[in-house]
Amino acid sequence: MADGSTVRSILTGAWRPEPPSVDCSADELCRVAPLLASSGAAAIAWRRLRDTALAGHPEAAGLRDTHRRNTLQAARLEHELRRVFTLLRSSGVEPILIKGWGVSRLYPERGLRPYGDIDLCVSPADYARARESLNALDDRSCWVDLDHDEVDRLDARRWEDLYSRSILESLGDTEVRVPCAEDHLRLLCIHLLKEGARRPLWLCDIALAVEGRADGFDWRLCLGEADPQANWVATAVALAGRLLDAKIDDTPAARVAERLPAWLVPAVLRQWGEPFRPAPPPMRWQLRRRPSGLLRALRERWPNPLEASVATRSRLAGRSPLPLQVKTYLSPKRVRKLLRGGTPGS
Amino acid sequence: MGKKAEELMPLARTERLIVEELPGEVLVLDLEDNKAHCLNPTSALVWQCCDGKMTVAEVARRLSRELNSPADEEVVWLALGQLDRHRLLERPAARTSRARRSVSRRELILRYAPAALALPAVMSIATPSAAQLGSLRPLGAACSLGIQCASGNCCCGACTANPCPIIDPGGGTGTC
Repeated sequence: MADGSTVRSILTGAWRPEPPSVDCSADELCRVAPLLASSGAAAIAWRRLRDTALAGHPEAAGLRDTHRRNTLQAARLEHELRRVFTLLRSSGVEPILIKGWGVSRLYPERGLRPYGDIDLCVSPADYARARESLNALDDRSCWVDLDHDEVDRLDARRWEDLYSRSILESLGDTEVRVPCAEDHLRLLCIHLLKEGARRPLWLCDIALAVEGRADGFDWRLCLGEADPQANWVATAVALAGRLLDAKIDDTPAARVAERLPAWLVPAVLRQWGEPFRPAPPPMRWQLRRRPSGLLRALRERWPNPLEASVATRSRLAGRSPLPLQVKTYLSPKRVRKLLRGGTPGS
Repeated sequence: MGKKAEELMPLARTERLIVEELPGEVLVLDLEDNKAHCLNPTSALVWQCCDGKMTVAEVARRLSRELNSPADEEVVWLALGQLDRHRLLERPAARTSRARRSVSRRELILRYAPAALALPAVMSIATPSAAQLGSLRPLGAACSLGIQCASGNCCCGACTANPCPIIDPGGGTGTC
């Protein structure tokens, strides 16, 4: 958990135009640089370190290179994003972009918040047409994802409402449709928890969205009235306040931050202190390559408390999350999906 | 009086390049071969002057002025050699190939060290990798299409180092 705390201190306030000074030793940097790199937080960490004595450290040089790569990749993906929007519009489909560029555009510099795919939501009626259009793109250089549990399954909001509140943002000569600030923050929060808060950068996204919200930001719309989603969103924002020092005093999450479940912060820091692991491959694939790896494969699939809470549609509460983890682990739907090769938590 | 062709700067390549400026450096991504380069201020300035109109001597004078340090034509030729090697010029400068032989970086370092001129440098940087990008998946991760994987190969539901041996018209998942 010590390394998770170092990651936390490096990322505290890192999204701000003027980030606070950072206190990190060379030894700590050596330990956490691989964690930052594997979780996508290398570039934003470099931004915090570049004006410190650690800027010349070899590990910092690696972070700097990542920042360079991300900057170029961001430019390339913006080109791809314009192309995808133009293509879908020519097919009569108007998508909404979530996460990815929709968040990275809010950061003070390009390349600080990397993303590798394009996450789009389309109307259920347009889904097949959108899929068909995208499949016809024979030179795709990145993955366009049309399936999002945080929108389709875990949230109760209707597409029509999401769409009617969405806004257009300029990207070069194209306009990109993104959710309104309230809907987007809500999506980011649910996504963070669904994925077990495994990437610290996702919490930076939330902190940035909260601190950068406009005056008229409607918290009632963002939180909604339905539970457990309202609890999830408030808890995720509270977590950004507690772990990354996001300014949440004037938000409904301030009270939630005072009584976060005792297991929550340690669970997140534990995640951050370990190298980021993406969804494991189908178990049969793993076992074919290494038949003796059954125990390891089973262990890899143990859900963390946050993803178990979301998977079981439970509030993030004070009680032990262990029963939820067991329930999630043994749910027939999950077992079937894991054998086929899905993501944990879904 | 007309300028001699061999004195003229070559043209910078512009097609299929992504160029981004960061403080103190210029980044270039070559979409032809997916290679990324980082140009220091001296190289970046020389590259910016590759318009087919300026002469090498004029660029040397501009370098001196803008970098606030004496610089002669050899510095420009060194930069052109590097830019050419990294395929950032439309076609080599008339003297680029000769310059490559005749301009020694070590010689120039000795000559320019007292003036603290940053000699031209074009550094290759690895192109974006899965680990840093956030969404591309590493080996062994679940996938349904090759473009989800850093390796570009999705075989039987997992990212693999090598292309899937199973012919799959559906886009790389394979039938396993």
